[in-house]
Amino acid sequence: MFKTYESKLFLLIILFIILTTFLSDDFLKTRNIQNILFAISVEGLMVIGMTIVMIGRGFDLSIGSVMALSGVLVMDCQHLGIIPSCLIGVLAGLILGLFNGFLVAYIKINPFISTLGTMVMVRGLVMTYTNARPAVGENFDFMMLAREKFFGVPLLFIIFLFFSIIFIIIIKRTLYGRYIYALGGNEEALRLSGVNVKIIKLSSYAICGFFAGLAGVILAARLNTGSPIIGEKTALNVIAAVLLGGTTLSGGVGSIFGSLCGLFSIGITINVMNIFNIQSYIQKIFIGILLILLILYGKRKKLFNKTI
Amino acid sequence: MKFLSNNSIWIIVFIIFILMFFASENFYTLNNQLNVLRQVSILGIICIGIAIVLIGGNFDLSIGAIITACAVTSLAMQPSSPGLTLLSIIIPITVGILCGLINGILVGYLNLNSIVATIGTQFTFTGFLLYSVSGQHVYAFDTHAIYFFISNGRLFGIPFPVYLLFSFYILAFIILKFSLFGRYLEAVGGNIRSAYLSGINTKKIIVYSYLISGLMSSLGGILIASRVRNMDPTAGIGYEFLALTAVILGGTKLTGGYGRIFNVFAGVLIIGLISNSITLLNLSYYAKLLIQGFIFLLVVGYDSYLNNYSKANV
Amino acid sequence: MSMKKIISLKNISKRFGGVKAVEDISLDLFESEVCGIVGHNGAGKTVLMNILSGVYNSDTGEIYYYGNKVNFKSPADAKKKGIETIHQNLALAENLNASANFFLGREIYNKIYFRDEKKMFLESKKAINKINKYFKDFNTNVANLSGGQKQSIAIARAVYFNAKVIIMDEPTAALGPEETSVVRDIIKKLKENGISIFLISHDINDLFDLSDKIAVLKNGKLIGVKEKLNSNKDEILEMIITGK
Repeated sequence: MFKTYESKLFLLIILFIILTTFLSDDFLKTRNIQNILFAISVEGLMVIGMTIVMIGRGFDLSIGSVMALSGVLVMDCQHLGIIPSCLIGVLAGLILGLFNGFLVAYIKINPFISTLGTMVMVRGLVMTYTNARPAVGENFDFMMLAREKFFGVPLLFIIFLFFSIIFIIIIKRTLYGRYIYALGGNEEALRLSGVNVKIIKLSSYAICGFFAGLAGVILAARLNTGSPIIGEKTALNVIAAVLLGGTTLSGGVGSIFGSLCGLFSIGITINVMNIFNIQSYIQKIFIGILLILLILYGKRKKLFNKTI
Repeated sequence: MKFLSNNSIWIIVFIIFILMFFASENFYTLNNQLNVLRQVSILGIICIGIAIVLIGGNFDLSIGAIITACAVTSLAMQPSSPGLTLLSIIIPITVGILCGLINGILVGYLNLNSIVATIGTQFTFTGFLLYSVSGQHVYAFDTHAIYFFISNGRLFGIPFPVYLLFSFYILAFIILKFSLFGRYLEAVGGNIRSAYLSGINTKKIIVYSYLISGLMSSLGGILIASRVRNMDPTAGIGYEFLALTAVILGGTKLTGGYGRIFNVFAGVLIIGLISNSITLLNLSYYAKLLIQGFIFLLVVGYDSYLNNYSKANV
Repeated sequence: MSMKKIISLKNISKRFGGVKAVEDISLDLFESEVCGIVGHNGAGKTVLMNILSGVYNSDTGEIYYYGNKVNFKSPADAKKKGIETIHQNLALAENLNASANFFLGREIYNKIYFRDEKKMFLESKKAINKINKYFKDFNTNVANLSGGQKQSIAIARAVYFNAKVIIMDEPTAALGPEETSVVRDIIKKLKENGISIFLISHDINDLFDLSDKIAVLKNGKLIGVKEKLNSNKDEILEMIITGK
């Protein structure tokens, strides 16, 4: 039962949680758990989108900037109502995702480079738009909605869970999922099979942008602020999570569940580091070295040993 | 004819040069010209490193971290005497080369994807830097005149950094055009497998390219430190991005294997002039980011378009 | 070999940038006929066939299929009409298994676009075993299969989808002698079943054994078409080398 990479990772997480519970009283406190759940909700959504892009051999560095933009838009448009403002935030993410996808699939720019460009451009956009000042929310109902819980589980976490399950199913069982894996495995073969590769690629980036937008909305809702400076290292965290979860840079392998396990592992590790008061600089070093080790491992690991 | 089309970037430099008239009437004074050159000298020197890494087929996204680290290191030496000034030059250079070595090993020997690896080292270097200075600003009290001279002095009326700029570009040109390293670098960037099969030690070439990048970044850091004399280690100067734009503008291929250092200089000039005019037009720092990002996408999009649509539209 | 003309290529040209890959080629293919295509590297063999596969559009000329003029806009288009291709690089996704590759682009799915893995497995197993009865590794990724096994998947795939015309681009290039003879038998069987084949190969012996006629290309031009019965290996070789 514990043969696949993902299940090994999952097991590791369980063990890690158990270990931490013994080492520290603070870990299981409700407040701490809630913090973990919330952080996972936000980054988890982005992990879903990024996994899809990366399985397809793509890459998106702009998610942090997109998240910031959508957060700002949600708060600024609050006067239009809760639903419209959320839709605007998500739509912004979707549109930027389409833009990224267009640059990669149609203009054929290397995705690392083009999303580096959009990352800077969107950051500039949101900073100029807000004049570097956060957009604070004034809608009381919205604030309450963001804190809503069902049987102790935060609404925002439920939203994340909902999307995870849907997209896990899509990637595993549908036609689209198969095409994403084929895109990463052998784009030329997919093209020769008669599938419109450009559309598949474009849509993967659109989905990634959608999730970045959604994550921004959720983050802004919870903090009741749209901050234009957040998300500087989000892309790195998310990519590290996806790589940890079994996806490689060359694509064709990986799973959303695995990536979420990866995110969970990193999230818990950082949480534990915070509990034990390790400085944020060390955390930075940790993530940097982790990333390098992960791509090293990805190279060494015999690709395509598992069946899809 | 081919010479003209390969170097057509200089036409754009010329055009922008003419257009600067609209930005400011004082633009064409000798003094201002020298000022512009001084301003782009830091970017220019850094671009040499980026260009060399790119010709070899790789990226170096950690230069921002290396620059900051070297600038901070330089100031931390407290160059109040000639001896300390020497230290404040040599130590940062060592740091820069060391960082370059790490990058080189990761990409050259361990064969990691250069973009992700240098993002990883960027984070790691920054983390180490912040840890060593505990996140605090670094001030150099009482800097010696020699140290001050590095960035702010003038020789025969020309700012010192400009001498450095031209010297390094000429040196880089000679190395790239006439040395074995230059030839091998292009081969590695063009097709690493073929280069390897031809007997070129591709790993060493890549390491050297990153060493040079680290060196150039450290020089840039020293110049910055000498100019401002206090550094915020969290500043996170986004030089990697600007440098990449300038280098690609200068005709260096994104896929590696081709680059002409004098055209890179043209790219640097263009970026510098545009930056200058944005400041003159009083746009905010963030608008600058927006415009730079946009220009970057245009430049890169055009490069990709040329690359991909000259072949069969498959 | 019947006299029914299946494919007629008329005055096909294609250039890439400044290079004329294919220049004014006209070639016919009849029912149950195997037409060998031979020539130097870069002679235009693959490009010509790729135009027929729907991978490229020709710059000039027309394609007639069963007497009707056709224009293939994509590989899917050609496949739908019954033209299947076994590409030189096999067009297999190494990270997917046999049945996934078999049905790539033509998956069996239900109303909500969920794949019917079971059905695809059964169908592909049947089809692949018809070509290669020793094939067992249906669950491993194609990356871990041998050249011959990969080839079996590609051929079985082309045959299964009711092809009237199969284009084979160097089908035995990476195969050993035993596997090569399996492919030869398959080609003969296909012929018996009324399927027409374009066979690109550099192996003169194979071509002479299997083809009814041989078309020689050089530098994008069609040097000549020789019926096997009216020619011999030396003549073909001379045509390839001298271009006459």
